[in-house]
Amino acid sequence: MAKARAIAVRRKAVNNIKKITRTMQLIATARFQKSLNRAVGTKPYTEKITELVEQVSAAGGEIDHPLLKDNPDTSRHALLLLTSNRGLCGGYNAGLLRAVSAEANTLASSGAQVDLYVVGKKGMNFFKFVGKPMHKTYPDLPDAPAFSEIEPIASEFMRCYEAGDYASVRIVYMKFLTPARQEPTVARLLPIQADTPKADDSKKAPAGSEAQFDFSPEPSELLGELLPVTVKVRLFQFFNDMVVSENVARMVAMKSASDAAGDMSSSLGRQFNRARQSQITLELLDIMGGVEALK
Amino acid sequence: MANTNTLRCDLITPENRVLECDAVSVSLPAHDGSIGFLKSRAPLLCKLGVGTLEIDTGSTRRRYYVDGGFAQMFDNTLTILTEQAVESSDIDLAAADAELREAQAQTAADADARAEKDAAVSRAKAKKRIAERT
Repeated sequence: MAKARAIAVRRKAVNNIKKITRTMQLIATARFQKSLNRAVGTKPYTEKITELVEQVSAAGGEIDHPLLKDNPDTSRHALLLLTSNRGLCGGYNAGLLRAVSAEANTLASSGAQVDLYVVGKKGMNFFKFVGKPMHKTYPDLPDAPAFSEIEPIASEFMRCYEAGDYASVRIVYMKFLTPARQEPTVARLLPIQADTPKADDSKKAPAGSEAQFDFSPEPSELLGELLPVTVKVRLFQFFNDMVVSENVARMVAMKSASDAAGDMSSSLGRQFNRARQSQITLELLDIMGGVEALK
Repeated sequence: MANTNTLRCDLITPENRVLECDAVSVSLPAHDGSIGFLKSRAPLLCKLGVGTLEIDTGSTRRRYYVDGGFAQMFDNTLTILTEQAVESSDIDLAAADAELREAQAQTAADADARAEKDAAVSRAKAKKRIAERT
């Protein structure tokens, strides 16, 4: 009896865990939808800002802005790592930590210094554990930060970059490709790649490029105002990607956990039945043996 | 027809598209003063300041508090990109008052701090103005 009961207890525990992982999967699915809508919601703004940059630079001729220029005098690089605050999302954080370590090592091997900026508790705990110093952390950011919370971070990076502190500012984040695929990616935030505003050149001239715009203030000044905004919006998009990818990763991880718990439960069910059956057989044999002995 | 003398108006923030409508007239705070827009205005690209964005759709008047950004008028479409757009009904007069007092109480030791203080004061005043009018 002892064996059958032990299996029954274990099976119950597995079923309880399955209920929990299944709920977590549903929550992650709902959050994923919400974060995806948010990420899509930034699109009109980004597209329009890019269009404005194109129009202004078409009118303004040569672009000369500190955010576009390299900083050759310094070999320090800023690396901003975006990780999640919570675990149970499969290989999400592990993949990011591998990517950031690889990037830091490549930079270090070329003689550069790296200042590490970390978002998310998982990243912070990792670097605390391995004893690598972090330049700055952002422990107070919520799971899905708003634009007003990202803006100061972007402004700080731009200030540092314009002051010549960094040769580049790079972001390590989980790029959301499709619901089935996310990839740890290193993207350069600063200096702004000169080809970013021209990326659409091959497609078509931006709407209104032939129009004669009135500019207020002058195009060069306007561009100086527009470029920081593009940086802020880009950083905001990285954060949005991070949130979407995290929720997808959690959704997938919890789905496989629920599936595994289901498999385990049914195999435990079979074991339990077999144990019960053999126990009944044993008891019957006992009784038969007793009857035989009394004859 | 109503739509013969209207222009298309898009109000977009980084987080979402706040408003998309036909408007008879729009008045917005440019960096150097207020500008009014009517149908078929010449193409314009300008930087925004802090203040009230007012959209008259013919039947209703909507007012928003905007803080910086850009406006583009092209092809009878006015696109307003701003980091923050708060509808007038969402602004609390008491909170705006408190913000103004706090901004005025800031100590400004150097030029940077003074500029920051002035900006904070003008933001709070703009919010207050909108809240008072509703």
